[in-house]
Amino acid sequence: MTGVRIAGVGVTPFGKYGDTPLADLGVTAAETALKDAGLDYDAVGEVFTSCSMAPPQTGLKVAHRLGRTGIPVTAVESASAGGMVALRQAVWAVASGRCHTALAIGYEKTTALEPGGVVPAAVDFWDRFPPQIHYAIEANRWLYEAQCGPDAIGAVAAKSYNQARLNPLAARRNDDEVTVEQVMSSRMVAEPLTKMMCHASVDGGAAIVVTGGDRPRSVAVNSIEQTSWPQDPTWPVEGPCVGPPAQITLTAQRAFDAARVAPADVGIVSLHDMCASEEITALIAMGLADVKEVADLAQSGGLASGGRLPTNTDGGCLARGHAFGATGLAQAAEIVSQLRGEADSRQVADPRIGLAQAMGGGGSCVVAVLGR
Amino acid sequence: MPGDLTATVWASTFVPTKSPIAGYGQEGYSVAWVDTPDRRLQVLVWGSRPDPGTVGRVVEKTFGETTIIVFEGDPT
Repeated sequence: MTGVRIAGVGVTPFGKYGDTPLADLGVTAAETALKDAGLDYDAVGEVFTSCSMAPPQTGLKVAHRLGRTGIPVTAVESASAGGMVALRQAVWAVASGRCHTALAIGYEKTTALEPGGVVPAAVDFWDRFPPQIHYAIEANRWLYEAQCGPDAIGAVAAKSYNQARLNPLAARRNDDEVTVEQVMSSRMVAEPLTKMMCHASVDGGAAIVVTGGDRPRSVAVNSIEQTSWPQDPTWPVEGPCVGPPAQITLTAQRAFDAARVAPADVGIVSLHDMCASEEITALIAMGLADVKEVADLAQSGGLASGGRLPTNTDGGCLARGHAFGATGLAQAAEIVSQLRGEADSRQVADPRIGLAQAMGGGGSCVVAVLGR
Repeated sequence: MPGDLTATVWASTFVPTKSPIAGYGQEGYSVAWVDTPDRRLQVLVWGSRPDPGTVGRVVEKTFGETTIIVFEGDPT
């Protein structure tokens, strides 16, 4: 993917936006990203928008508020992976030569549904049960195989909360350091997952400007790969939940191959963490750590900014918060900030290759490899 | 379900809240992934939370007008 670069990123604070119109979140994020890129909206040749619960045509509303320039505007919906699906579309719009600059915008309101917005109905048997069940079962299997206690998952969660304390845009920012004990003592949702190990659904917007030429502070898109749910008889759930770890492995392998890098080259990771345990299973699935090693990383600070494998340095879905359609773009924006050396107090030492991974309910997975 | 299936627990969880199935798990319940001869299934559990490797059967049980599929460990 030679020559395709990310020139600008914009992320709104994640949190609760009450009566703020949904489109405002997308417009604010896009304007921030364009300013960051040093470009006007007139330079944009295509727009891709992402939201899971928006009223119809919200993407056009966002784009029209940025300018009525007559360019194609395409809305995508792919649950938690939607932001990175939109980013992939923007990357390929530039890579294919259709345009020189494309804009991916994600926005979501989960705490106060936009009038006319859509909430998926519970239709299947398992829809009536807590959505964390399958993450909990996977987590228990990992604990069994790694032969460690649930405080290893607690350590992942505590790390994410403490990283969020360094991120002014995060939704869950504790005044004091969060301890593993606090995480473990919060209400049990599904053993071994406590409430503090589960993500926060919030509102927010994020946007990324993709260009075909080098620009100041821009970051290279070395690859971006997307898959849908492959056949896997070991994954017994279906419907609106995520696909199997084998899908993460497949997507990451394709992204590594296309970028011509190895897992060991990755210096900073942002991944989908609906629960803290998903951070563990995704790192294993992508070949970034093995079953036992990831417990050591979690408990020794190895997943924090100063660790060997910094992961979800912005707090992740646990603590930055999860604004479904915007999340993937916020994840990629964090990687861009880290590769630029602009992540302030959560800056990782000299990362050269970063990886962003998103999983969406229903079975989309996207992995992007970004580089300086 | 055509007949009881032999199954082995891969992993499970306990949910400490009331089940949405009337008459089942009103003080918490377990869910397991179990390996059958054909594939892995997600099922509710009859009885206490089983450990990985627990052998049993996947059977139907009826609560009022609701029939559910559960894993039931073999007597030890």
